[in-house]
Parts: sequence; structure tokens; C-alpha cells
Amino acid sequence: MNFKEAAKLGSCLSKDYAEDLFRLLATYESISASEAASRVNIHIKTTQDFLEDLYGLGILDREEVYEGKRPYFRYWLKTDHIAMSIDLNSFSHDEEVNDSRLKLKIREKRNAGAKFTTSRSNDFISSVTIWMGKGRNRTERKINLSIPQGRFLFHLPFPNADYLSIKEIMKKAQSDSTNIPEIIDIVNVLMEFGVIETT
Amino acid sequence: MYYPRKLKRDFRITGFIPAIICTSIGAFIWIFIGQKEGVYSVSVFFILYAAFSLWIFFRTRNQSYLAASVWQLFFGLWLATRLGYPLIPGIKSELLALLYFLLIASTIWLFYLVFTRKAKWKGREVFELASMSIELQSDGFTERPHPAGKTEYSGSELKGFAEFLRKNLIAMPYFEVNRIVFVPVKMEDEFGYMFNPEKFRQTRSWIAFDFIGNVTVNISKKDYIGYKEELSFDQLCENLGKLFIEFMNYYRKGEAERIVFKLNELGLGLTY
Repeated sequence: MNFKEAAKLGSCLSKDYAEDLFRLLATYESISASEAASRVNIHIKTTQDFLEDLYGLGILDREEVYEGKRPYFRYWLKTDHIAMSIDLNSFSHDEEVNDSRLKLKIREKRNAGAKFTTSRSNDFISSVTIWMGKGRNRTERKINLSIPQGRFLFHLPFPNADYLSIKEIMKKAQSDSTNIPEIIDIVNVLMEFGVIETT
Repeated sequence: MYYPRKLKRDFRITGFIPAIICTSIGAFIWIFIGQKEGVYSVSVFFILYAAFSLWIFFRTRNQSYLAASVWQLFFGLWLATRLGYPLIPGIKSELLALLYFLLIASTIWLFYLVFTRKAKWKGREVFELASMSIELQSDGFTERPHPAGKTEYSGSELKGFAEFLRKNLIAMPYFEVNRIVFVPVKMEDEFGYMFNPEKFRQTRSWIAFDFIGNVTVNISKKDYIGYKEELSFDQLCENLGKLFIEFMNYYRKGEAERIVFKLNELGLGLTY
């Protein structure tokens, strides 16, 4: 199961009425959205969405039926058990962290409008504050950094300095190779916010 | 040798403000109350100012403030014995002659210190030296500190270096648990440092030496816009760091006087 599906399933299961609807689905051979809604006393649209989500996730099956009026769906359980399994390794940047990624040359962007706050010991950056938008719509986004990220940004070249590769900056910051994924992550985020630029 | 000036001229007269206030108050009292009261008020002001100068001397350990304090005290006392209305009645003529002699001696001492630049806050010289041979490059400013490198020194050498820079008014040290931060103070900026050192530090550039040899530089916006043109910011940080590392090396080799010579060689004015 991928993360989006798991999130959708989690959202369905967390609903107040989920248990009641599952009880109905387990009891009835098949049930329509209007029947389930009337039994649980919730809106038919809410029930319809819930059943459709479960159908989309492959937990329910459905059949379109005609009983002299406009067609509708009847749903039934396709499975007796629901198992949720997410591979967290897929979130790691390990795949991306190859030589080309570490060779990426970066520096702070000119007039990035970001504020770098140093730690109490002043040897690493503790947070980066970025302002987005203008006037009343101006919003502030503060990113707190881990110590390896902070040390890395402490050595980030200035806006008009020569670009340095991530690997070179890591060497200056004496970063461990185990910190590569989190450093790549913060570089990506700051590039997205226009605080870091590349060659 | 001619050194092109990179900093904007500073036309502030902060250093003269106490003297201007004193003279103005004295003149008003002279006009509206009387001559004797006017002279006495200036006399009292100078005696109080002597205490203030002594306080600065204890803060900086710079002998020109001790000289200023002594001169202000003697001048205040001398004024109090003028005009045939001595503030201290029954004062002996021998004592007056001694006071006069001490006033002349302290004046010579003070002038010597002023003209040999020992009384000069040398922050401006520091920034001029740091900006030499730097290219022009715009939009380079960032508020991040710059790791300027690593050098070798012991804890006691660092403390001694801090004491030397303070005594010679080159940069004021702030002692922290793991490092010493040096803030160069420009002439006319000294009262800002004296009255609120913490606030002063937040808005000024600094150079930090930690106890394991790392040197970090931070140039403030206020100091950066003090230059006539937009200089390459990273080069400026790099140079400021290198300059202080060089100063430290001079100090460690027992050639600390070369630091003062190098700064004085720029030939900046005595009052800015």
C-alpha cells in the first residue's frame, strides 16, 4: 500500500461513523448508500463518499442495480481483514543521494529575504525564517534545523561567493555521511523557497 | 603610502557633545545668573566629567581616558579657584602653583596621547584595512556569520590578545563561555558602546575566536552600508577574519605593536 492509499484508509477509519458502517457491511449481504445512511443516521452524501473511498481502496465491491427507478450501487465487503503496511524506506533520499546529487553546486541566493538565526553557541544555524507574499498576504515560515543541517548551512557560500558542491560544504562543516539525506532534504526545501541557488 | 578610503565620511560630533553642553550651560548661567556661578557650574561639570572618564578608563584600561580624567579634574579645580571667588576658601598659593603645574603637565600628557593616536577608537581603521583590494559586487549582503578559518593559540594568549585590543581601543571584547567576541568600535560610536554594550553588539560587526581555534566573522548591515560602494561581501568577511588572524599571529610572536602601527599607518583623522 502506498502512502496516499494508507492516508485515505486512515482517514476513513478515523470517522466517527466508520465502525457503524463496517458493522452494517459485515452484517448485510449488500447494502446501498441510502440504506446505510438511514440506519446510521448520517447524510447520504457522507455515506456515499465513505463507501466509494473503500471501493477505490479495493475493500468493497459494488454492483449497479435498477429497481424501476434510477440506477444505484449496492456495496459488499470484498475482504474480511484490512492490513495496512507502509514501507518507510521509500521516504529516504538514499536512492537520490548519488554522486551527481552531492556534486550539485550551490550558494545562498541574492536578496533571498531569509533570516538565518544562529545557535547560542554561534557555530551553527538553528533556524531559517522565510517571508512569502506581499502586504497583508505576507506570511512567515520558520524552519527549525537539526544540528548537522545547521552546521552545513553555516558553511553555505555567501550570495556573491563562488559556488561550492554539497560535498565540499559538507567537508568544511565536517558532516558525517550518515547526515547526507537530511542535508539533501534541507537543500531541496531551501531551493524550493528560493533561498539557495544552483549553477 | 596612500590608501584609498572605502568608508563614507562620518560627520557626527558625538565626542564633542559633553563639551558643547557644558559650555552652553555655563554661558547661560553666566548671562542669566552671574559670572561666578557660570564659571562654578563649568567647574563642577568638569569634575563630574572626570569621574565619567575614570569610569571609561576602568572599562577600557586605555590610558588616554586616565589622562583625560586627570586633566578634567585639574581643570575643574583650577576653574574653581579663579576670578577672585575661590570655591575652596583659604587655599594656599603654593597649592595653587602646584595645581597649575599639574594642569599643564596633564595637558601635555593628554595632547601627547591624542596626537600619537593612543586615544583614538580604531574601528574605522579596522574596516578600512579589511576592505583593501576588494572587488565591487552588489547584492551580496547576508546576515549569516562567516566561518573565517582556524588558527592556533592558547586560552591565555586569547585573553591577553583581548586585553591588548581593548587597551588600544581596536576592538572591545565580550567574554563568553566558549569564545571571545571582538567588536570594533569606531570613533563617535564609543558612547553607544559605553552606555549599552549588549545592544551595541547586536547591531555591529564582530569577530569571534573560540577556545579551539575557530574564527567566525559577522558583518552587520549598519557597518556594510557604511562603505561608499557595495563591496564583495564574502571577500570582506574573509578579509576581516584574516586581518584578525594576522593580528593574533603578531600578538603571539610578541609583535603586538605592529598591529597598532598597521592601523595608524592608514593616517585617518584624529577625530573620526
